[in-house]
Amino acid sequence: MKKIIFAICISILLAGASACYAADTVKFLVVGPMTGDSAGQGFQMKTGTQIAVDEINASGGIGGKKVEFEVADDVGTPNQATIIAQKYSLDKDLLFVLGHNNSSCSIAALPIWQKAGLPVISPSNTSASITRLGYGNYFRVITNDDIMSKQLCEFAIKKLGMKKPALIWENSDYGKGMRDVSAAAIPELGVEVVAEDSFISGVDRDYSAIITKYKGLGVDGVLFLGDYTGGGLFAKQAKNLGLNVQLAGSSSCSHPKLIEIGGDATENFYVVAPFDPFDTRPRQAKFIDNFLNAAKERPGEWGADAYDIVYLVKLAYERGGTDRESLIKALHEIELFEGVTGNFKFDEFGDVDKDSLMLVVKDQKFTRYEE
Amino acid sequence: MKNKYKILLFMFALLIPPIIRNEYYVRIVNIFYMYSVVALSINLIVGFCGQLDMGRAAFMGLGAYCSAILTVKMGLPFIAAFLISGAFSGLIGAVLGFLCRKSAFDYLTLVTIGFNAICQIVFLNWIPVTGGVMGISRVPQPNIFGFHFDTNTRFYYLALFFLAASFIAMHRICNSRMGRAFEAIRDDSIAAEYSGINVQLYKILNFAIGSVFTGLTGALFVHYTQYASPFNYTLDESIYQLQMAILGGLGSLAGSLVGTFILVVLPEISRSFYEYRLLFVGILMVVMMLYFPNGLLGKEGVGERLIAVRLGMLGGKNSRKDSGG
Amino acid sequence: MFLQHLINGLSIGSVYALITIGYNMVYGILELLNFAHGDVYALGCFVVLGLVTAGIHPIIAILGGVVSGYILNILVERFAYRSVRFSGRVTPTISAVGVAYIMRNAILKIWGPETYPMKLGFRGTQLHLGGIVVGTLQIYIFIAAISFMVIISLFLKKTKIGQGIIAISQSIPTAALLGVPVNRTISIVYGIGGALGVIGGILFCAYYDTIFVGIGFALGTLKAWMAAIIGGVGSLKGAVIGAIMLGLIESMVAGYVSTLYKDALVWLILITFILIRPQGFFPSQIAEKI
Repeated sequence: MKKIIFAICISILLAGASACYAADTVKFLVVGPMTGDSAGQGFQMKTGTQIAVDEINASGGIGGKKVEFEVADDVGTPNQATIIAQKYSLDKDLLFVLGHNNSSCSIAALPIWQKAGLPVISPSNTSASITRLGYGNYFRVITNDDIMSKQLCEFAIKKLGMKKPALIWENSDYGKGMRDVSAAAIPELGVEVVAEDSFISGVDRDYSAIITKYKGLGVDGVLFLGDYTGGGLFAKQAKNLGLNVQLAGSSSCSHPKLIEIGGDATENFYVVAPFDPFDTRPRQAKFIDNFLNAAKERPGEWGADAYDIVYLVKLAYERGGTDRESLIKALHEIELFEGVTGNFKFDEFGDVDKDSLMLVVKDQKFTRYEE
Repeated sequence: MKNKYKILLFMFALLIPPIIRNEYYVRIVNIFYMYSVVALSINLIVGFCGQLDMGRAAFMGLGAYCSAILTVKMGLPFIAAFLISGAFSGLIGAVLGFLCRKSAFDYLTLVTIGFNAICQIVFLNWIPVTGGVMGISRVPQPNIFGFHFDTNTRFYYLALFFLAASFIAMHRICNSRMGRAFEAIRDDSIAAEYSGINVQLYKILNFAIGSVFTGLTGALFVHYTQYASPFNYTLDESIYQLQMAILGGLGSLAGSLVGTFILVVLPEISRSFYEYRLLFVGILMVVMMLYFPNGLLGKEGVGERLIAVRLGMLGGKNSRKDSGG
Repeated sequence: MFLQHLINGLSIGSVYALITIGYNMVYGILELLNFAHGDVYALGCFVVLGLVTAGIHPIIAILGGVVSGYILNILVERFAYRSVRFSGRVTPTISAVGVAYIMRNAILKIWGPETYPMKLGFRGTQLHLGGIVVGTLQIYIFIAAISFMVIISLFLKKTKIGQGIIAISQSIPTAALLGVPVNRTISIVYGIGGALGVIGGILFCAYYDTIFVGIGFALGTLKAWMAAIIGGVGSLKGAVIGAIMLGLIESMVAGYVSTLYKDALVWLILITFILIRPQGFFPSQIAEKI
């Protein structure tokens, strides 16, 4: 933690010092919630970016130019996001924006970023509707909830054999998006959703009423579409109240804290994950190691996707995307990018179609599910 | 004499955009103007009438959603939607005021907090109308009889006009019989009742008028940011707005502008300030209450204290505090 | 299933009750809307977390937390409330909101917004009684809430300090004239309130095995306030019954009506209640005594 703060301080100092050499650097902005409720995700974005930038600078930069970035805090609220966008859209040296973390912030700020012609690449916006709003400058490297939820539902019904599933979702842009897709996808698989419940992340910590209701309804499987804290608590309370059913969760449950909080109740908890925090393939393992050293926690989708974005832009830059306009074009033209989170390319909306993994908790550790 | 300064100040304000010429700064000033009106409305309720309302953001949200729905889903022109939103918010304010007309101090505060929570949940979940968590995007920019306020600079003049008009209106209200009735209720509602003031009616009126201004601001704001999101109208936002009114001085209209300026502009100037703004707000709230309970520009505020120091009259100032025994 | 919902409501309610007792005592005696109550004890609970993580035995850590809650609340009273005690209603309330913000942001700066597992070693087991599940921890918490209520009632009735507290709740000037050391007694009230808050908060954390900053305001102050208003401001019996009713309402609404609108409905019920019966079920016991 101290190390990373130090590294960031240094990078800010360097950013200040080298501002006069702007032409010799590639500069971009990381914007996300650095304070407030989702500050943990912002911290992940910052750390992932820092690791990628350090690696690139150590090996000669992008096209011989040093890379540097600034960090802005949108607190996760749409109004603040518009102010940040207005402020940084005046900075002529910025090549692109890495952010926002919250879908609602992206929707609020996109009109302003678009006016400035800045490409915006988000590591974590999952709301399906953003790419359909018609902003040509927007990209994201995470699969939208449309694809991810369908994958989760299919897995839950076909592989886990849920016959009477219940949906419980976090009342946020993230959980709501997943819920809408799931509620439509499950009936298509020939199974009815028996019950649907929502909770407010960070406030509702007691699921006993919901669990009791599920027991009464004879639910045999629960799809938990929400954060890892809620997922862990739900698993634990379900076990205590004697609801012994199959649990499966959305991507934001794929965090080691799920197990830390839920304990042995999370055994056999399946999650869909854009990134495996225990990946052992050499490239991923090296990134995870660096991340662990810098942040004292394992990277989640936010850190890993931010890391990929920097390399993605490097590739696009080397293929002629040296200013804002040509970068947008170059990003669209990349036919295949190989990142730590998987291989992908953008479609005409700026969406990607990455394969997500299924992880399962075995012996208090996430392991990859293999068929 | 005093009016001359005000007119000069207004003339100067007209020249701000051509002087600063930076879209970001203009945006900050625009937001400052709009929040000023919210602070004024809080001042009217908390400062003049002594009703501790902690749910102002809910009324901003009501105005914002009302205007966004009327323009986006029903295609009404901006100006009609804007005015209807003010009326709608005022009506809800009147209803809430009516329900709380007899409630004691703490209950009113709790009811406003509860109302804020209810509004947020409704914004979040009434999907066919409010769009749920995704909110309502692509809200049109203000357009009055064919004139588009589509840049920050153009919008600046609209916001300035809105602030000036609201300020004058508030000033008139506060210096009328009604304003004095509010103050009488704040100082001692029983004595006010005996002086022939219809306390319940004035409480309702106070709430309704304050809510009209808050709702109008919410509507204007949403046409500026072009996006209505349920995450903008939280309890924390309400308390931050409350602080804007407190900082400048409860019971001082000009003070509200000063308080808002400090809380909107300072966080933008200094990033480290921004990170610690809520801690700072907390410390300020305590310090202000201990030393300037009526705000920087209110009664016993900085101005009066400076005069008192100059005249050597500060002795005995703290006598009130020691009466605790 | 109705019985299980009832048990769930009782368990949540007794957790709220522990917090409400401390809150309502201060609320009833000084009529100050203590917005900071929850955030003060939350800081105390985080101190416990810090001590436990540092490897200190949970019992000693909890004692440390209780003491820090006691001291914190005395300091808060001394510096933020005492001098505005007679400045009407708005001024001290805003000062309290300020204190709440300071405490909450201190927690956020040190520990951040994450949820931490709270390992205190209270291992409850589950009793299965014909399809209904009751946790032993829930029973202990319920017993703790009732015994705190009794202990504090006795303390107020039987001790000299307790009598002084009751005198102050009636009229501060009169109490001062009768020789009650007003400032010291009020300090003690706050101290006890803070210490009780930490105990309640710790049991809260033990019940959910986790700790996060929200236990202060959203789950602490607000719920305690709601419970106090249902039960009756200043009444200890009211605090417990109001809290249990709040737990039951929440659990029934979530179980039978809608989780989507749960909080909105609970607020609506509460607001309706305020409008119909503002004095609560047990109008101030302390003020009416003697």
